[in-house]
Formats: sequence, structure tokens, C-alpha cells
Amino acid sequence: MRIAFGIRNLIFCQLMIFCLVLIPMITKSQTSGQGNEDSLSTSAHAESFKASLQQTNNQRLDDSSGQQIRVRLDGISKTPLISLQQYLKGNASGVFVKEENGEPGSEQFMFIRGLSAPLFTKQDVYGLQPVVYLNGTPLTQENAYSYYIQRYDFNKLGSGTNLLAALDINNIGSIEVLKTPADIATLGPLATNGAIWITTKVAQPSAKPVINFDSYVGILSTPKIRTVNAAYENDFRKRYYDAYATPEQMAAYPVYVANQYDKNYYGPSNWNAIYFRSKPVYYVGFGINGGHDRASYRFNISDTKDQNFDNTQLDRYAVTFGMNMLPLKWLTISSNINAARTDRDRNKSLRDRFAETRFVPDLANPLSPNREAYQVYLDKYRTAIDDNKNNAITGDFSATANFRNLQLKTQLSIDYEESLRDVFWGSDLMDGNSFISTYYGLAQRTSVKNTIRYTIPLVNNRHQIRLEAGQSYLADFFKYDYIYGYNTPNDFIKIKSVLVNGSAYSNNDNIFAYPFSDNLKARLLSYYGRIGYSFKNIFNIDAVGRYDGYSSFSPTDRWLLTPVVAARLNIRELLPENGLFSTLALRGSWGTFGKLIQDSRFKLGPQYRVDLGYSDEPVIGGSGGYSGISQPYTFGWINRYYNWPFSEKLNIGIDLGWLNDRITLTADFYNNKDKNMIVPTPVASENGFSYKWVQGMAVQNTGLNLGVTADILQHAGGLSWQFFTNFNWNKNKLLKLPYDLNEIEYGDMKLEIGKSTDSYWVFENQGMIHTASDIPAGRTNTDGSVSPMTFGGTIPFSVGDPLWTDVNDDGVIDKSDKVLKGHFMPVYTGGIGSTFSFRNFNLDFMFYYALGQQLLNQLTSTKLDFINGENSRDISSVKEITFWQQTFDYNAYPLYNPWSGVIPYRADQDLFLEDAGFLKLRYATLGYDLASLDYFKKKRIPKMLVYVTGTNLFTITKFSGGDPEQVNYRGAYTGYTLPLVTSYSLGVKINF
Amino acid sequence: MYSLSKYFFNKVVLLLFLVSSMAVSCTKQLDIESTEAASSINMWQSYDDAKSALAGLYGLARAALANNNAHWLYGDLRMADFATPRSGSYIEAIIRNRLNEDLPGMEDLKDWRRFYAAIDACNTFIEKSGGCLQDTRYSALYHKVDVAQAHVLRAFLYLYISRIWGDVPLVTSATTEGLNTNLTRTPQRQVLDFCINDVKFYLDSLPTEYGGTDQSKLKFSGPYYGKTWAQIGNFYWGYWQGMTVLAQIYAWMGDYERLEPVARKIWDNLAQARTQLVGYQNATNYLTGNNSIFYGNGVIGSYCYQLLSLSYNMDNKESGPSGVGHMESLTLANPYVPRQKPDIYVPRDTIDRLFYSITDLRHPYQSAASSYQSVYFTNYYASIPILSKFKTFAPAANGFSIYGSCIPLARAEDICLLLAECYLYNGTVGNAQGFLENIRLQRFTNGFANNLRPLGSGGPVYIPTERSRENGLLWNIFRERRIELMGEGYAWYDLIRYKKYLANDYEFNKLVEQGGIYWPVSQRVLDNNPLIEQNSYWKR
Repeated sequence: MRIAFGIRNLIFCQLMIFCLVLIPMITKSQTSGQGNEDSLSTSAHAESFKASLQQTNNQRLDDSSGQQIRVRLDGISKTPLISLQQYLKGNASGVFVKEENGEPGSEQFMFIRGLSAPLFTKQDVYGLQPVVYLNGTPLTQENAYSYYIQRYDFNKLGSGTNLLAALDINNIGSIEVLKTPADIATLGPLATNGAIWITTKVAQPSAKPVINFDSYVGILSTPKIRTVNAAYENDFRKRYYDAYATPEQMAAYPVYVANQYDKNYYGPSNWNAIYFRSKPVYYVGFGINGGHDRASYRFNISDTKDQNFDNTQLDRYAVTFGMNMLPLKWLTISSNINAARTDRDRNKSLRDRFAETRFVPDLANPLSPNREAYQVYLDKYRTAIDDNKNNAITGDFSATANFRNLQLKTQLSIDYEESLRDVFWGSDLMDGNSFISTYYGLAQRTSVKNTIRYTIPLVNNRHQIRLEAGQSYLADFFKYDYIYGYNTPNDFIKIKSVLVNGSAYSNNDNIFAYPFSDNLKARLLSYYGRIGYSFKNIFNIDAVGRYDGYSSFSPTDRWLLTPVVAARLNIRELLPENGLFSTLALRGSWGTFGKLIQDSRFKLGPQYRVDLGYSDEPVIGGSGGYSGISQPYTFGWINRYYNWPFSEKLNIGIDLGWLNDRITLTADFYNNKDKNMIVPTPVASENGFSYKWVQGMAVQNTGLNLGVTADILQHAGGLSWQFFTNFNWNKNKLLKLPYDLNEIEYGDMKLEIGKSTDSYWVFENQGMIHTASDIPAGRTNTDGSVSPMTFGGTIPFSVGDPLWTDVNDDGVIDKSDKVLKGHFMPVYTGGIGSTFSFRNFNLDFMFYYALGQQLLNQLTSTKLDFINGENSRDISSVKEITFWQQTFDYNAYPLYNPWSGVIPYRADQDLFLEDAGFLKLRYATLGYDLASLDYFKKKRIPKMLVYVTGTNLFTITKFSGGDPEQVNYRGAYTGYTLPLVTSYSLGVKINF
Repeated sequence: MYSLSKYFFNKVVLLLFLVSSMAVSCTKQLDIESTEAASSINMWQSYDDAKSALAGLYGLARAALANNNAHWLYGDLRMADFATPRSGSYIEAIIRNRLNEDLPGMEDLKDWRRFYAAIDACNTFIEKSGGCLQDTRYSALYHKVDVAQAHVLRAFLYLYISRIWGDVPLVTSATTEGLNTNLTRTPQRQVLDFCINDVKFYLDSLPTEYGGTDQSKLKFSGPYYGKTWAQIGNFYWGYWQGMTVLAQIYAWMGDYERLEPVARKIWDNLAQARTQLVGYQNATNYLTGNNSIFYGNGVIGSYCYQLLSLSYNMDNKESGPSGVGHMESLTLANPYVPRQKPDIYVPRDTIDRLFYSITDLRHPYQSAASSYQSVYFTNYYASIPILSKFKTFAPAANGFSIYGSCIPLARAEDICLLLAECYLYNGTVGNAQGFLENIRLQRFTNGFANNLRPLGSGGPVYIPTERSRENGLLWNIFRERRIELMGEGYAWYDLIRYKKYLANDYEFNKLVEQGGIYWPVSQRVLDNNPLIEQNSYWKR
């Protein structure tokens, strides 16, 4: 009741503000609007209108940011890419994009300026995502809370569609990456992970409506792979059986490998003809843009289809409408609405299906590599339903009043995203049973932001003092309803049937279903004040003080006061005219920002919740017919108080320009320290809790972002060449753990102070034990004799085992001999591109690279560890149809005894650590503008660009097993995902 | 124009006022009630808190035993009758007592954290549930009964982990803010003595049944937490469950003197405990059917055949599609579920060695049908026979691995055979034979010393044969346990008791002396608490 009252109060206040702004507007527009009605927009009015729009959209401390934060979009807009992450990949300084999967619309992750916290679980990745603003509207971010009811974390529950795949590049006017303290000072904790600031194309006032039409169509190129059948598998396994197998083990040789007469496994391996069937991708967009000097509008509608192999695709329908009004000279009103619907066809991998059904069947026999047999398998999907739909609508309304030196702005925004998934897998796929599930999830973010700015010019504008105050309120709401069940009456009737027995009705014993529902709310309330001073155009300094309150911290500790200071010195102004530099400025900013947490459980302190599940059944909530509650033993002990983690950010930058800024360079050095973060620490198991969640972890990211543009050739009408590149270096280090711990372990991961948080924790290989004399000495016994080296203190090493480094020299190989090695996040990333134009031709291309990181080749490890894989019902050893290809050279690996108790081919050793650096030609596009042809000139068509584009054209890498970019969030290469495919497309962009 | 600006500035003042007033109201917006968890400050205040927390105790205990099928992997595999077709797997390692191996799946079994989670929940319940008395719906009698249950359950959990790890830390107070850091192993004897005293002390606070007509002095009759006896069965542990826990503690200690009166009292009061032996009339259905005594809470008619168990309420969807937590997930394969091979099976020669009567209702050969039937075993003549004793599919599972069988901990047959042991131990052989024959009579097998006439004087006679008497009485008592209680998680503890009773197996005695009968403790446990030492046998 209290909350309801609060919301009502809030809405009332907001309405009052609108009224205050609107009433004078309406009364005034009656009188002032008439005279200008016909004067159309070529006038100076229109230009100032545009300028005022751009100004009001700007949130940064604009006097002190770098010059190159804007992302270059010309090349990308001609490339068949569909998500924001793809637009930014390699294209934006300081952003690293992880695109694990080529499946259209699947999740992708972004990291700005390194990894500010370790990734214990996949949930943590969501907490590190930057916030995306669309016309000043903070878009809702995925919350990972549904992972708590999932048995496997490969995919998020629901449609799993990337929310940022709803943004059509042809609607985007600009994308800026905000990462320095100065950039994000007024955005606050929401932007602590960095922010992506997107402005849709501004409605341009013009004399007659401008219509634009964009389209492309493209085809995918089929990857070249070496398919194999069981004969290959037999050759591969035979070596191990010949060398090590006992007769008993020999007898257990799997039949599908052994039976050479089985045409399913020994027949032709041509599954790829079906799996890699290529389908066209296309895009059609249509827009109209018009208005006059007091009002303008923009409308755009588009349909996009993206495809990949395994019959996966994404359909996107997007509509956007924007309008701006200048009803009074001092008042601007803008509103934008973006809506999108996406429909995704997902892959048919066994792994993803088993993960959803929470059931791993007998995996003794894999799918047959044969085309016909594979088709028979695919035919089983005929009765299947797998609908994945997302609806998104984002709207904002803003009013800006400019009166002399005073500016007042208010913005109300709503972002609403819903995700729906319906699944049915029939009896053929489910061993005679059937699976049905329905998911409905929504994420909603409502925000209100008000700012007031006042500029005081002194001494004829030589000095200027700026005052600003802002207040914002943001409410997040997440919710899902999910139910899954088994055994529908048949493959066609999917609802529970009722038995009629005489006049009595009773439920039939079918559909055994499990319902789930959860919701989560979070609210952020912020105030800030800013004071700025500038002296001429030479020196600026701004100071911001913020006061933020967040609902997910303990009630007594939820407010945080933080400062930001930013300064810029324009050295160029102090130098004589016509000097070497056309731009020379030094920038510096420092600030502290609170960090938000996604999980709402910490605010409660010690608590009781449902925790009766176990590792294979994590979601059992009942006991004896009642829901049972306990302390969260599995999750871990929760302390009474948690306050804000925070990030101390320092940025020092320089902007340089030569030859009238034909060549520009921007360099930013940063040092970010994220502190007071919550981390699971070990507790004695006898307490019953898995961990204890304690604050006090600190992680440092230091690095450099460098951007260069150069107009190397500039001939109007002749050859021009614009070169651009960005280079990024990041170094990550764990500074501190709570309780002065030096290291902690969490599952298969370890953190150590002074080391980076993205390291692999592995045994170091030294070779193999070929003969008994190779077995290293182990512990010395009490009688003076020396035992052989053991694994874990109990399993003696024997011939055929690997030699692992005994780091602590205690004669025992155990996890204390594992070392932190390598990085799963790249150390160096960047892009190199150019635009050439000659007459009406233009050529764009861009390379993308990431260097210094390694991957853990889990695919090869699983294939080599076939003995344990064959024996387990572990989902990670599921053999997909893609199992039937050669992905590595088995002769390149030592011939260990796969039956050994030390598990010689375990994944956690540096044998499987491989260099994952790569350089890719991301796109190359060649265009010709037909508008200059006489025919089109006569028709007064200003633009008619025809282009061809190649995307993902080639990759240079040392990694031979596949695409080194396609690793999971912790750097493991599993080979389960669809490729980032090479495509060729043909497109047009027409304005008329 | 100027007038407008003045007008406007006035409004600005008003607006700032409004903004600040809004700010005040917004601060309250940060108070969000959590829907999925209750703060400990708000816990222990009502009848429902007690109800949910009590259900939580049994749920956590069940999770500890169900996780990775621990109950059976601990109890049924080591050096016992099961074999596995999965060579090189951790199941094979356990069967061969190679518990030091680091195979996937093993680490979880060496970790006692889940048991301590359940123990801590019991400790917390004992200390905190008094707060619920402020709710008038939660009576003092309810509280007394509930606390007694927490004591008995905790004693059982300590017995369980003592059987697995030997000396274990005895924690009897709830975890507090700082978390305990100075816990060391307590000698097993001390732990078990503590449990015995605890159970004895709280036995009289327990009703003989829940939701029905209590026969104890408590007179705790009528619905319990809104449920009747038929719905509850022995889900909540009462007086007779407490007695059974006591009997099992004595049995594990090999203390036949103290075991005998306890087991005898249970045996003499089976009717009050509302349980009985499974009679020959129902042996096939009750022991092996889809709705066997293992299904759900084990209530059939007016009897609950699960004297002691941790069960799954199938109406409440307490069982999931992985099948883990039920014996079926280890033993079933084609033709019951689409799997080529089960994880464990009883080899044919072991079956042949164990069974001694072709007329046995549990025998793969069913004399009534004059053929091999799918009763206790299926596919007897295949290389891998399936133990099909447990095949309790959920109502809609239809060949799918959602099972309804409980984690069986004791039933009347167990008590009966324990009594036979006791009488043999104290020399009253006739009684011992009698209790063995009690079971044999109901299974249509040849008697040990007596001619058995289960159907009365007119029916068939099952006379003692060479095979039904082979190896003597003790061996036959234990053989009967191996057959009757097959797959119920007894085999390993029975083997230890048998070997200790005989004390003539040098190798095994060495294993017992050196602590090789216990499991090694997981590395994680050792890392998290430096005061815990590895079991000496596995330290080598």
C-alpha cells in the first residue's frame, strides 16, 4: 500500500512538471506558430533546431570528453549484421565483444575496459554488461536470476534472444561508447560498467518528405570441413586399445565403432549436406522523414532475416517513430517509440535439448553421420514446436525548456521486453515420452530524469560558471512464469485430459508438470549536483557530487555519496596559430561510482528460502507435500549487511590533431579499481554452508585505448583514402580478497592476489611416462624408502600417464600443483580499417583482432577422454552430429593411457591451452552511387548506392581446431556452437 | 518577453519544490519486499514458519542422501552383490573399494557438507522454533513434537555419517553469524552415545503416528499440519521411527544386548507402528510393483510399510526427470527405460548363489507362471540381468525416468532379521531360527529348520533343503537380508556387521582396524577446515 502510494505520488509530480512546461507552450503556440507555418526548413531556423536537439541529447560533461568516442557506422551499415554487439565488435575503442555463437539472435556479451570482477558463474557475466541508452532511455538489462532454477547454464531460460538484436542499424544515427569518469559522471551507477549511448537518426526537417529505402540480400558460404565416419573413430581409438587395454576393457569396445558392417556408422559421412544447407539472409527497410522548422518526424519500418546453418534463423520486424517539436522558441519536445518483434528458430543440438528437458538419456550410440539417417532423425522434429518470440517496445518523452542561460529538461522513459518460448518435443525425440514447456518472461525498466542547468557568463564570456542539478528515478521489474512437463496425451493433444466416468470427472494421469514463477524488483534513486568553470576555450573543470540509493543493499547502507572531477586543458589555444598541431588538448578525470548488483538476496541479510534440491535436481522445493524452507546452504551464508561495491576510475587522455585535423589521435590511459565487491569465501563444511559471501574483493584494470584517423588522400571527385584504427590494451589484476585471504577457490576456478582474474587453473605438462624409470620419485616413507609419485596422494603414477610438474615438490600431484596461466580475455584488441572513394565508387574494409588470450580446448579433451565420456551421463560428453568431423590431429597428442585413474586427458592442463589470438577481415564492401547518372539526376534522386559486401571473409590464427573467437565465457572451446559464417551480400540504399 | 521569464522563474521555484517533495516520497520506493526469501528476522514467528522449516529438515536430509544417489553408492556397492557394466567408472571404483580415485562423481560422495546442512537445520530448528509459539495456532504440544523430531533426525544423520566417515565433528548448536571455525573430529563412540541419549530422551515426546490416533501418552491425535495419517504415512518420524533409529545405532555398534530389547519392542508393536511384514499374498506387487511399498509414502491400505524412510510426495512433484535420488536411476534399463545398460546389476551367478528355492516369490523363475518373469529381476538370461525390484514410475512418467520410490531406511523385515541375529548372538537359536522363518514363510521358500506351511495345513510344505541350510544359520540370516533388502542400501553395513560377528576374516579385520571401511574425506572439506584430518587408511 505504501509503495502504491509512492508511485501515485511520483506520477502526480511528473504530471505537474509536464503541465508546467506544457501549459505555457500551448497558450503561446497559438500566437507564435502562425506566421511561420509556410516557411520551410532550409532556413537557419532548421539548423538551430537541429543543433538544439543534439545539445539536449547530450548527457556527458561535454567539455571534457575525448574526441573519438563515436563509433564509425558507414561500413557496418552495409554489412548484414543484426545486433548492437556485432556493430561494436572491433569497431569501438575499449569494448570487447564476445560472440560465442553464430546462431542468429543468440546471446552476446560486451565488456568495456576489461573484466572488473571474476566470472564465478555465468550469472556474473550479466552483471558486467554495460548499460545501453537509446535516445537517453536506459534499456532494460538481462537479469540472470532464472539460472537458479536451471540445471545447465548453456542457455538462459526462455527465448534466449539477445535483447540488443532488436536495434536496426538503419535507424541509428550515432553510437558512442562512454567509459571515462567524465563521460559517465551524470549517468551514475547504472553506467559503472560503461555505457553505450545510441541516438536514433534525428528527424530532419526538410522541404518535402525524404523517403529512404534500404535493402540487402545475402548468401552464406558453406564451411569446408572434413567429415569422418566410424572408421576414423576406430583408427583413432585402436591406438589406445592396442597400447593399454586389458581383455576386459577390450570387450567393452563400443559396438558402433567396432561393427564395420553397420552402414549407419561405416557408411558415407555426408551429414554436412543437410546440416550446412545455406539459406539467404535479407533486409528490407523503408523510412520517411519530414517536417518543417518547428516540427519534424521520422518513421521507419523494416524486416530482417538472419540465417545460419542447422536451419536456424531470426526474423525481426522493427518499427520506429520519432518526432520533435519546437512549439515555443525555448521549448523542445521529443518523443521516440521503437518497437520490435523477433522470432527465432533455434538449433537442433542434442545438448541444448537435453539441457531444456533436464534429462540426459543413454548416450551409448551417437547420431549416425549418414545423410539419410540424419534426415530420419530430423524428421522426428515434425511434431515438434519450438517458438521463440520477443516483443520489445521502448518509448520516451522529453521536454526541454531553454531560457537564456537556464535549461530544464525532463524525460520519462519506458522499456518493456518480453520473451516467450513454447516447446514441444514429441515421442520420437523423447524416447516414447514427450516434453512440453512454456515460458513467459518480462523485463521492464521505467525511468524518470529531471535536470536543471544554469550557465553564468562572466566578464564577456571569458569566464563561465555552470551549475547543474539532476535527479533520476529508475525502477526495474523482472518476472517469469515457466512450466515444463512430460507425457502429453499424445503428440497432438498437449493439454491434460479429463476422464469422464459416468457423471464424475477426474484428472487423467498424464502430464507430469513442474511450474515455476519468480519476480524481482530493483529501484535506483539518484541525485547529483555539478559545478563547472571554464576560462575562455582554454581550461574547463567540472566537479560532480552524486548521491545514489539502491534497493538491493541492506536498508541501512543503501545510500552512497561519490565525487567525480574532470578537467580539460586546451593547449592548442596557448600555442601560436599555424603551429604543428591543429588540436592539442589534455584531459583528465577521476571519480568514484557505485556498482549495482543484480541479485536482490543480499539486502535481506541471513535468510530462509527453498533449498531442498541437489546437484541433479536443483529445483525440488517440496518435502512431504509442503514447500520446505531452510537457510541457503547451497548458495552460502549471507551476512547481515552489504553496502555498495564501488569503482574508482581514473582516466588521462590526450587529443592530438595535425593538418587541420586531417590526422587525429586520441589516447586514453585508464586505471580502474573496483572495490568492496562481494565474493564467495570458503567456510568449514561442517557449518553446512557451501560458502560465505563477504565483501572486500578488489580488482584492478589498467589499460590504454588509442584511436587514430587519417585522411591520407583527399581529392574531391578523385581518389580519397581515409584510414582509421583503434588499439586497446588491458591488464587485469586481483588486488584484494576479504579477510586478507591470499587466494580462494570456487569450483574449478582459483583467484590469487596479484594474478589476473581471467586465468586458467591448470596442471603443467612435462611429457609422458614411457617406461617405469620415468616415474618420478614421490614421498619418502618413514623407513627411508621412496614411493613413486602419486596423484592426489593415493594413485601411483604408472606407464602411460602424463608427467605433470610437481610445483610444490611434495611428491604428490594434486590441485596445489595447478598453476594460474594465460588469459581468457584478450590483452590486445582493436580494429584497422579504411575507406577509399574514387568518383562514385567507394570501398570500405575493416580488420578486427584480439591477441594475447588463450583458449582451453575442451572439445579435443573430451574426444581424447573418450573412455570416461563413454561411461558418464554427463551432458558435456553428448556427441552431436558435428562430432563426425575431424577437428584435431590425434597424432599431435601424446598417447596416454585413457583408462588411468589420473585421467590423463583431463581438460585442466596446459596440454589443451592454445593460443587463441586472431586477426579477421570483418567486412569488405564495395559500393557505387548511381545518383550521379543522368537518369537519376533527372529524377532528382539524391542517393542511390549499390554495394556488395563480404563479411567474416577470413581469419588468421594459430588455432587449428576452429574459430578461436567461439569460446564460452570462461574461454573453453567446446565446438558446440554454430560458426560465425562467411557471407556475401548485395544491397542498395536509396533516398528520394 | 520579460514578463514571461518572470512568470517562468516563479514556476521554477515551484518546480524545485515539487522535485524535492518527490524525492522524499521516492526514498520509500527503495523498500521492496522480497517475494522469494524471508529474512531471518521475520522467521520463526508463526505456525507456517514451523511447518515449512520442519518440512525443510526432511527435505535437506533427503537431499543429502539423494545427491548423486549417495545412499545406494555408500550402502549397496562396496564389496557387495552388485556389478557394473561401466568399466573404469567411479561406480566400479566404489565396488572395488578403490575410494581414493579421483574420478568424476566421486568428489561429491566424499563431501559431508550436505549432511551438515541438514544437521545445522535441525540445530537451528531446535534452538529457534520456540519463537513460533507466539502464534497461537502453534501449540506447545506441536512444538514439543517437532523439536523431538529434529533431535531424532539429527541422531539419524550422525549415525549415517558415522557409518561413512567414522569419527565426525559433533556439532550440536546452530551456525551463527561468525560460522564455526574450530570443529574437529569427535570419536565415533562419543557421537553415537550422544545420539543414543538424545533419542532416548526425546522418544516420549513423539506420537506413535501423525494425523491419526496417537497411542502414546501425548494423545497427539487428529490432523497434523492439516494432513491425515494416510497422507503422511511415516514421512514425519514418530515414536516408532525413533525406536528404529535407536535400533540401527545399536546394530551399527554391534551391541546386540542393547539392540535386542529395542528391536523386540518394535516387533511386538508393529500394529501400533502401523506396519507389518509384506505377506506372501502381496509379495510380488508390494515388493516389485509400480505401486510398491517403496512408492511415495509407502501407505497401502491401513499400513505404512516404510518403517523408516525419506520419501517423495509425488502429488507435490518432489521427484524430477534426472531420476537421481531413486534406486531406479541406477538399476533400470531396457525394457523399462530406453537405456542399453543399467549402471549396476546383480550378475547371474550371484543370483544363483543367493537364491536357494525355486519357489521363492522373489526368484527370477516364477513357479506360479512356470517361467522366468519380470518380477525381482528382468532379463535373467541376458548377460546383464536388470534388478527390476524398483520400478515405481511417476503416474505420467511412461517409461521416462521420473520415479517415485523412497530412500528406504528400514522396514519390518529388517527388524525381524535383526532380532534373529540378536537371538543367535545370545544363544537362543530356536528364536533366531523362528525369526528367520518368519520371512521365509512369507516368501514361499524352504525353511531353515522347520517345515513351512504358509497356506496352512492343506497347502504346500517348504521343507529345509541342503541349499536352504548351507553355511549355517548366521550366514542364512545375512543371506536373507541380501535377498530381501537388496537395493535398499543395507549391503555394506550388513557385511561389516557379519564380518565383525565372525571376526575370522583377516583381510577384512585389517580393513576395519585401519579405517578402510570408511570413506576418505573430500579435499574440499580438508581445505576448508585445517583441523580435519584425512582418514588414516586413505592417507597412505
